[in-house]
Parts: sequence; C-alpha cells; structure tokens
Amino acid sequence: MTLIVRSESPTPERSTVWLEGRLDANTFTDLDDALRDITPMVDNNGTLVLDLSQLEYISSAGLRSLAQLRKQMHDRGGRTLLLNPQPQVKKVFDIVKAVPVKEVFASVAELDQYLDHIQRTVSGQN
Amino acid sequence: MVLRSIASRLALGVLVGSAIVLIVTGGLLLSHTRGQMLRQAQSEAAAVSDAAATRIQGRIDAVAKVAQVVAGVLSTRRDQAPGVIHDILAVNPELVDISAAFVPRDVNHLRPEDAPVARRDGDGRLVAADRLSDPEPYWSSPWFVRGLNCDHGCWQPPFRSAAREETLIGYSVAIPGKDVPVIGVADATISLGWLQQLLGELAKPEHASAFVADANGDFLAHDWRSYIGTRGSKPLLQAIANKQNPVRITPEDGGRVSEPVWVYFVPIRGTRWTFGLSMPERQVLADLRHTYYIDVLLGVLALMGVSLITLVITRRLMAPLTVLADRAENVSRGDLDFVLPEVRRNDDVGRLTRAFDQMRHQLAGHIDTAQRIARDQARMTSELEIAGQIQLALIPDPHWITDDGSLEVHAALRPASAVGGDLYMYFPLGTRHVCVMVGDVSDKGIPAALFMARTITLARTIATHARSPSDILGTLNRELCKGNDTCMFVTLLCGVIETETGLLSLASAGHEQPVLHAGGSAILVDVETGPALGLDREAEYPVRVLSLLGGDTLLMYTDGVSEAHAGNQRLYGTHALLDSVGRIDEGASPETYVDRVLEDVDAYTAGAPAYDDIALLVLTWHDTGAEGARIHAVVHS
Repeated sequence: MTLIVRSESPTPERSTVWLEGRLDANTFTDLDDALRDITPMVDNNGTLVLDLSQLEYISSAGLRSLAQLRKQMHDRGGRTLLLNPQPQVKKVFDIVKAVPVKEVFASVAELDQYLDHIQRTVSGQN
Repeated sequence: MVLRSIASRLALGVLVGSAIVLIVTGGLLLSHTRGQMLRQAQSEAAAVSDAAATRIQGRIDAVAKVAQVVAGVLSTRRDQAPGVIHDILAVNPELVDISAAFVPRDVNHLRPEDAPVARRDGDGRLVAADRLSDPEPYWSSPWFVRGLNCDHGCWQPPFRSAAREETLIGYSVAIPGKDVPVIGVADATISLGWLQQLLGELAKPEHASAFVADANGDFLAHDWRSYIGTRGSKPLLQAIANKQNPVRITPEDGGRVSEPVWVYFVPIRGTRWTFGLSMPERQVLADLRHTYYIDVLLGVLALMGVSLITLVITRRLMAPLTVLADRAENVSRGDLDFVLPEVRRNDDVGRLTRAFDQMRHQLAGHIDTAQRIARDQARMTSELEIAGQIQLALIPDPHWITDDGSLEVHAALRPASAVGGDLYMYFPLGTRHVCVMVGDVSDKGIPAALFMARTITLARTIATHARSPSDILGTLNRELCKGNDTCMFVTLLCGVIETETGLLSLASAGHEQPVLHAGGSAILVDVETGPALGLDREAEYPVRVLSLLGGDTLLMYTDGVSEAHAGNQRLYGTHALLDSVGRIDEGASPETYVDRVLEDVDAYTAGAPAYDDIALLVLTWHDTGAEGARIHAVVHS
C-alpha cells in the first residue's frame, strides 16, 4: 500500500492537503517530503487542513509525522487541523492523543464554524 | 572448428555468394554467347559458300561460253564442224569433249559430219570421233531434244563416263539455222573432278564439309566422296526447297548424319545447283565450350582470390575483437588486470576497445564500491547486533518475583529487527511498592531504540521519587518533551502495585488497555489515557485503581501483539487476545501466559516476519494472606 498526497493550490490563509492510503513507517517520508513544499506557502498565522477521509491506516510513525507537522506550524503561530478521519484512524487519535481532540473535525462545516469562532475571538481581542 | 571465426565465415560467405552470382551470370553469358557463336559460324559459312559458288559459277560460265561460241560458229559452217570443234577443244584444256550434233538430213544416210565429237583421252591427246555409234540414236536421245530447246544453253544432267571413270556434265546450246530456228545442238562437257577438287581447296572452317547438289538434290560433289551421285536426305532437300537457311539437321529428323549438324547453302547462279556447307554443331560450339571452361576456371580463381583477400583483411580487422572476446572472459572470471589491444584507428573496433577499457575501469570502481559497501554493511550489522545487546541490557530479566513472593512478573521483548522501540520495565519502589511499565516508541529502528533508551533511563530516575503512576508519567512526559523537535513520542502504560494489599494504580500515556484475567474471564481494563509522552508538556494522566485478588493476572502489551498480521490479513485484535488469555487455566504462571500469547500470535502470523516490535509483561498477584495463593507462590518460587 502506498500513500498519495494531494494538495489544492495553497493560499496564505488556508491550505488543504488530502491524504489517501496508509500513513506508516514506509510512507511517512512521502508526507514529510510533500509538506516540506507546501507548508512554506502557508502564512505564519495560517491554517493547514489535512483531509483524512481517504486515509485508511495510521501508525505511530505516521502520528509522529503529524505531531512534527503540528509543532512546525505551531512554532510559526499557525494551526494544523485534521478533517474527517475514518473511525479506525480517529480511534488511534483518541488512544494516543498525539493530536489534541479539539483539532480534529468530523466535517467541513464543523471546521468552518471553528475557524469563524477563532477569527471572531481574534477580532474581539483587537 | 575453422568456421568459429567471423573472418572465415565472412570469407566463405563471400565465396558462396560470388559463386552463385558467377553461375547465374555465366549461364546467361553462355546462352548469349552460344547464339552469337552460331550467328558467327553462319556468317562465316555464308562467306565461304558465296566465294565457292562464285568460283564454280566462273568455271561453268566459261564452259557455257565455249558452247555458245561453238553454236554460233557452226550455225553457218555446218560442214566444217569436225575441224572447228577440234580446234576449240585444243584451246580449252579444261573441257573433256566438244560435240556438235545436227538434225540429220536423211536418217537413213547418216554421215559422220552430222554428229562429230572431239574428245580428250586419258593421256591428253585429242581424238576425233562421232556419235553415230552411240547405243541410242542421238537425235532421239533426251539430251539432244533438251539441247534443241535450249537457245541460250542449259546444263544437262551429270552422267557417268565409263571410259574415263568420271562424272561428266555437259552444257548444251541450240545451233541456230538460216532458214529454220535450230539445226542442231553444240555441247561442251567437263569433268566434275574439278568441282570435287575445288571443294577440297576451299578455306572452310575446320570440321566443315562442303557439297554441291543439283536440282534433283543429287550430290555432284561432296567432301565425303561416297556421297557423290547419291541423293541428299529429305530434311536437307526440304530446307533447300524452302530456302530455310541455315538448317539444323539431326539423325532423329532423318538426316544422313551421325550427330546434329548445321547446314548453310547458297544457290549457284546460272545453274540450278546448290552449294552447301555442313558443320557439326558440337564443333561449332566446341570453341564456345572451351572459352566457357576457361572463363569459369578464371572466375573460380578470382573468387578464391577475393575470398582469400576478404579472409586476410577481415582477420586483420577482427584481430582486436578476438583479444577483446578473450578479455571479456577474463572479466567474467573477475580478472580486470589485463592488456588491451592498442587502438590504431578510430573505427568501430577502436571505439569498442576504448569503451571496453572504460568499462573495465568503471567495473573496478564499482567492485571497490560494492566491497566497501559490503564491509560497511557488515560493520553496521555487527554494530546493530551490539546495540541490540546493549538495548536488552537496559531492560531487566524476563522473570522476577518479589522477595515476599506476593508478586511474580514475567516479560518478553521481541524487536522486529536488531533494535526496537518497545520496552518493558519493573522495579521496586521502596519496600512496599513495585512499578511496572510497558511502552512503545513511535516509529522503528535506531531512532526508536535511542528514544526507548532515553525513556527507560529517565523512567528509572524519576520513579524513585514518585509513588503514583500519574506523577511518574507527568514528570517523564515533561522530560521527554525537552528538545524533542523530531516529535518522537512513546506510549506507556505504567502501574504501581502495593505489594501488601494488591492495590494496583494504573495510568496510560496513549497506550493499549491492559487485560485482566480474574475469576476465570479475561477483560480489558478501561484506563482513561493521557497523550503519548513527548508531545504535550501540559498533559495530565488520570489514575485508575484496581484491587487485585489472589491469582489475578494482568497483561500489559504493545500493539505488536494486538496488531500482528501477515500480509494483507486482518489484525490479530484485542478480541483474539482476550480469547487467548481466557483459555489459559487460572493459576497458571506468568511465564505460561507469556508463552501462550506469543504462541497464539505466532500461529496467527504463520511464521511471517514480525511487522512490529512486541513487548509483553504479565504480572500475577499471589495473595499471601490466602491459603491457596500461598501454595501457588511456593510452586512458582
């Protein structure tokens, strides 16, 4: 099994990456390589969304990759949000908790709602 | 074998190919030349025939002239006939006789002057005679009648002279009269011996034979004397009649010949004679055959020469290739130290030689590299083995039982490769507590092994100052988060048992839930987990407390057990694990649990290489306060 990484043309504010297949010890470097090109295009306070609806399996090596990505984005003031993981992947997130629960969303609507909320909070502060 | 060399195969190929070309063109040439030779023979024969005919014609024209002169003179001087013919014969030595025959004035009173004859006898003397003594009356004989009707002269049929033993032929001209149209016939006779002689004198092609035939097809003269006086064969007569010139006559056609012959003929003007030249076809073509054989011989010599030159040139050109072929065998034996032929020209062979040389050097480089890599790999393997041993030295012995016999622990660690990221741990905390841990570092291999070593070392240090698994995990997490840019993390299940009471506190950092085998059934212990260690500095780890009863057994394991699979098989799963544990007799030793679970997992993966590291720790609480448990404790100690 392999991993396919696709991305829409990223914008500074928000960029979405689709993962398809298995993210494990054999394929996490593919994700790392692909994101090395994508993350620099996202603005410092931007949001990177990983759409996991086609991701069938994730291993601890894959979790490490996601954690590292999240850390990189976080260091630049950005966010990494996970969208619509399949149940078995969601379960891994739940157990290992390598990713905070509040950064995992079951649908685009939920994600948009969250982002609206964040923006309102930021404007409110301003 | 000789043909193993390309040079000799090429030479043979050239020889065979050229031979085929030579045979085909030779055949065409032969056919063409044959026609040409026949035409040439024909024109040659025609020239000879024309010349012969002209000579014959000249000769007989002279005879005719004599006869005409005699006739002219005697038309007014009948009475002087004997004298005239005698005198004329005297000045024409080629003539055999001259006769003058007049229509008799009175048949009953013939006079010698009516038919005088002047003859030349065998000795050349002239004799005067007459025709009165002819067996048949001359005036009624065919030649006389024919002569009377021949105003301008004509040739009589040849006849055989018994006296001279020769074939003679006469030319007759009618003698005109003053009152009547004709009064007699003047006749000059020659021997055909000159004709025969003339045939012999002709410059004929070799093997050709000449003949002269009269209007009936009878041979007047022939190089084959026995043919003289006989009649020509049917095909010959037909050809003459049809003017089919030249004609090929074969024995099969009815010709009087022993082999196919070509006959060329020309009519002799002023006569109804035909001059012919007969040549055997074999002889006509003999020269051709001879020439052809010489040509073929020369051709074969030329071919052999060309082949030899091809062989020599190719050998010289291919010589370096032979050396290269030998050297290639050297290379296949692994011998790269050899001398290559000197490159003299920049042709294909030169390029090949240079490429071969480059290949040799590159190959030598590759072999060096491969050997170095192989050495490096061997060193790596050896280092990994040592690393694996060091890693195993970090974890405690598989089996341990507390001094008071209340707690027995058995564990197993099976890295998927030389080193792995799974770990187990147990150690006493003070005198009344024991800490057990099972963990799984994210990822595999050397990074995981180093992170595992760090985890174990930190855990040992930290745990000595803590009593609760929550504290242990919290502190360990904060330590592991330090400088963890690679975001390595470890899931860890930590338990602390109070050895006097069997009170078990559990905390999980993202780890698999443990299995409790108690009261004959196996269940998952639901422990609320915090995040895996190394990711979130603020993480907290809630504690779940269980009270163990005597004989209760707890299994802690990593996902190498629950996610074991072979190929595309389904994962082993916690249900299978619960089944496996549930089938184990209550009161079995922790070692039995470990062995049975590993056996079942191995049976499921059917000998496929392990996908992930496996760590398994089984602890059994022997309640020292209960009778039964004490007995078990004795058995296991």
